[in-house]
This record gives sequence, structure tokens and C-alpha cells, in this order.
Amino acid sequence: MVEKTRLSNLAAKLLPKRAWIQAAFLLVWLDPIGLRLHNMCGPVFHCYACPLATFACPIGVIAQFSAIHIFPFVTVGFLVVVGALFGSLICGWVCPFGLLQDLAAKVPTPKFHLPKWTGHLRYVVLIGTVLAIPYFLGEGHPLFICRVCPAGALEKAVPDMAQQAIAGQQIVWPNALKLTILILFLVVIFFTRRPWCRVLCPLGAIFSLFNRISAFFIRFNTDKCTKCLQCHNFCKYNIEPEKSPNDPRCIRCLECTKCSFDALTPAVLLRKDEAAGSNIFERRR
Amino acid sequence: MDFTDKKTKIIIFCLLTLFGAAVFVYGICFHSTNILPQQRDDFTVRTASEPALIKEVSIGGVTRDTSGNLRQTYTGKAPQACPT
Repeated sequence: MVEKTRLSNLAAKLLPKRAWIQAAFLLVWLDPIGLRLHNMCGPVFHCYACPLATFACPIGVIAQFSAIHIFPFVTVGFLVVVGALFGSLICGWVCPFGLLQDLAAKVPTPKFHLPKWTGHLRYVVLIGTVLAIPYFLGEGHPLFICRVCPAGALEKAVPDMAQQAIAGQQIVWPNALKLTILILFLVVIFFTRRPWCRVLCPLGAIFSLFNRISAFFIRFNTDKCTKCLQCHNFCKYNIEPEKSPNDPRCIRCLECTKCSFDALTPAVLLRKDEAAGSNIFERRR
Repeated sequence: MDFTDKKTKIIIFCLLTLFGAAVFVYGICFHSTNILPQQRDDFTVRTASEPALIKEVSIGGVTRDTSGNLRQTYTGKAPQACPT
């Protein structure tokens, strides 16, 4: 008989409502009561130039601090704590930019898998456009992250252009590179799942580094695995959960925990194992 | 490093959390920076805490000038949003 932990039960209940949970978090990020707490970062990818942004974007802040050669203690400390607690769970359940891509993925179009190596591009974006280019070339460089970021284009430039068009003013277009990236992004999200998160997101790259050691993780129990590979069908991101349950490319949508045999279950680090025989922590790749 | 070992994982988690919390608290409570006003002939230095500096950078309000000093990019009313 399959024995479930309380966390597994909770995850099973919440899984069908994931999009609603992501949508509910919009109330936190979209500043419905006009707090504008821009002296603090949120843990999600949401442009601070957006008129509806409660917190500052951590990536924007790191890049800007890099440009003025100051270490962002608050932002780094915050991201380390959030990453150590949740890892990429933030990407899968909380991030508004992830929600947008998840909604686009619901449109019934052919979906293409991205090659595994593309996941490493996120680290290139993080090191290049967020750290190195701002530090050495300043925030005026055309490849400075905020100058190419599709979140900024979508959440600030597009509303501004619409406002200018409605008011009959001259439209101020974003730079050609930013516009191209935005258009590409808006097309690609219908044909592959979470392209930004999996290929280019620098915040996702930071959180992914914590996946193997975060307090929240996915436990793989070899005793319960029947090698039916059902989890391969559940995972929409081309990861093999039974080989690498806490893979850096995982956004922790927790779909793999639907495993009928409970071989893959959500777990918390500082909690005594509830299910019998679940002492197997995770299997390394 | 063996991440399959629960004890190792707990130690790493605790160290990371402590490190993150310490860095965060240092940034909030102790880290500050001097910012010069936009006018070059004005030498009134303003000290900004890190949360205040985060707010400034989020509107593109601070830049490092050629002499290496942090300088405000505006005088009077702050810009609404980051120009990038």
C-alpha cells in the first residue's frame, strides 16, 4: 500500500490549482494597494519600471549595483535565503512572468522540446548581462540586462506606447534589440514551455543553483520506483525526474509527484520522514 | 560533495541560510553609500542606506561619474521609472 506524507497530500491538492495560486500571487507583485516598496526586492522576475510593481526586480538591482560597483548585500542575502528555502519552487508557483508563459502554453499549438544544453545559457546571461557587462561597460551598454529584458518591454514599454498612442502623442519605441527579443518571446511562448525561464532567466539561474540543497526538495524513493517512466510523461520540461529529481533545470511544478507509486514526493529538509521506507533522500545523477 | 547525505545537506542549508541572513541584515542595517548631488559645483554629500540606494537605482537615479564618485542623475523631483 502506498503511504503518503502530509506534504504529498497537500501537493496533490494544490497541483490542479497551480495556475490559480500563481494568479493569487499577482496580488502581491502587482501592487494593488499602491505600496511601491521599491527599496526592497521581490523574489520574482517583475520589472520595477512597471507602474504595477510592489517590489524592485532583484536582477535589475544586481545589474544596477554592478554598474555602480557596489555589492548588493540586501538583494544577495535575500536571494540566498529564499533560494536555500525553496530553490526553483518560486519559479514554478510564484513568478508572474512564469504564469504568463504557463498561460500561453495552454494554447493548443505544437510544442517543441528545447535541447538540454540550452539550460546553461541562463548562466551566460547572468554572468554576462547582469554582472560583467554592467560592471565593466556600465548601464549604458546595449546588452545591459534591463535594455534587453522582455519583462521590462512588456510591463513598461508596451503600456507606455499604448498610452502614448491613445493620447495621440508621438510613440517612443524601445530599442530595436529589446523589441526583437520581445516579439520573439511573444511568439516562442506559444510553441515551447517556459522558454524564458528555461533558457535565459538569470533569476531562474540563481535559484536553480539551490535546487540540490534547498530545504524544499523532491525525494526519489528507489524502492517504490517501478521504472514505468510515467514521470517522463508528467514532466513537460524534458527532465528525467527519476534520474535527477532536483535537477537545476527543474522549475518545481511538482507534476512528477503525481507518480502513482509515490516514488517521487515533495519533501522538506528539517522534517522527520513520515512515510515508512522514505529514508532515501534523492539519487544523484 | 555528497548531496544525498541528509546531514551534509542540513549543514549546507543552515550555513547558507545563516550567511544569507547575515548579509541581508548587514545590508539593511549597516551598509551605506555617499552620493553627490547632480550639480558638479555642489559638494553636499548625502549618505544613503542600501534600501534607499535600491530605490534610487530602480529609477536610474544614481550613476558613477568619471571621477569614481556616485552622483545623483536628477535634481528635485525623482523620475517615475528607470529609463532603461
